[in-house]
Amino acid sequence: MQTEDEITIEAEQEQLWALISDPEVLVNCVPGAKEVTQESETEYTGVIERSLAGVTLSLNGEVDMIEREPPTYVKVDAVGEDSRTNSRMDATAEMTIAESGDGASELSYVIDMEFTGRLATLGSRLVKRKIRSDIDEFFENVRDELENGEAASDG
Amino acid sequence: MTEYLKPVDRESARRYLDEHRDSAKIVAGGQSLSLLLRQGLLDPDVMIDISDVDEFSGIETGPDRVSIGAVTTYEQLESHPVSSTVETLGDSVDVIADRQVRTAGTIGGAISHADPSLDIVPPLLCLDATVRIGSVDGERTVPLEEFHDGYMAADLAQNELVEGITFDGSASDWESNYAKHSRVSGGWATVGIASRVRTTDDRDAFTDVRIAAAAVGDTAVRLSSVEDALIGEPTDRETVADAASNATADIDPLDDLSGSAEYKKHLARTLVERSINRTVDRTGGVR
Repeated sequence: MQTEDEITIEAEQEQLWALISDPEVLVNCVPGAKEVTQESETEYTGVIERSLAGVTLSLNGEVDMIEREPPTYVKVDAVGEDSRTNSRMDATAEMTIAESGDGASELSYVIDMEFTGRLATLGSRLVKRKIRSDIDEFFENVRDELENGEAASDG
Repeated sequence: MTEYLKPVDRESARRYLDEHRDSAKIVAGGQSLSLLLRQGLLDPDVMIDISDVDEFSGIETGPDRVSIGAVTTYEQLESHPVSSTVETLGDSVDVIADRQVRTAGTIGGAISHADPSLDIVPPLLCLDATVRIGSVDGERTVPLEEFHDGYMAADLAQNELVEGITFDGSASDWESNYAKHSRVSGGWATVGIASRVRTTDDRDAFTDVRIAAAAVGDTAVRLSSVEDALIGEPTDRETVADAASNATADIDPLDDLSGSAEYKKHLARTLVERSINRTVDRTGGVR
């Protein structure tokens, strides 16, 4: 399952890069993120709690930046596991940040995800839109963080 | 072990839910819930089955309001006269899933489940329906359009449940329709479009237009770009076709197994045109 988009954010490349590399910002901006720990320059671990159709998932995840060229490009491998429903998500994401003039940046991403376990039985019709809506919310929160220095997390 | 509670009146239903809150799931018809239980995705401590609560059951028609209880089944709605007077409701119930789902599935259960592909929601959006929500603190109402406030999300607190839905079904000069395409007969909508219109006495111009779509966004949505393009305009097929091309302005489909986003946009334009034309034909107007 693949999802991709391009968005414009009112921030310089470096500022945007610093923001989305900061674990505190990630906890505030990633929908449902309970904790994010930076294990090394390129590795993060964390817990994300999400609910869909009354089903609550608590994903214990690891994110590994397998390629990075600050402040323009990053490729990550991510794994998340939920022990209650015995489900697993594997994802590869590529993100490019380009200057688009007037102090703004254009961020484009491609995310390729695969689900196994019971989560997969929910079906791509349900899960895909949830992920898209969470990605949109993440970037909304990043915008809020830039404008107000804080973002609302809906838990 | 899951505790299964079966209240027989509104007060005990509200009280049970207040006591158990997030550890409880409400069972209305169980047609979405039982799948999640069987797949092992849900394992609630408490289930509160509200199907025996009299106050939540049946359809009441007053001089200007129609009120449908939360545990009214699709089948009960299908056989009620309101499905003939408000044709978009009857059209929609006719194409929902299969006989099993229509016999057991309920209007309140569907609305609470908040799936944007549900066929029953667009007709209710065209009726400006209001959701009645109850808790131990009493009743509050919220427009259906605001009730679904995100993808698979509803404006319900942990101790609140949907008790019914109310709309104005009195205006006999409205005509309506629901048009759906699905990959297989009885399947989820690839796109579903409800339309409801009122015309001038000589039936050659639109005075009121309401269009709503399922399966093309985070929630079912009203297509105000199409509505605005038709109000005050003639009811001829060319005008309808032009207005239908605006349908994509209000929708945000994604690629999925039922088709690509581009295909769904095309389908939305086609079904908007078809649904409005069928509705206009029902006015009996010559055009």
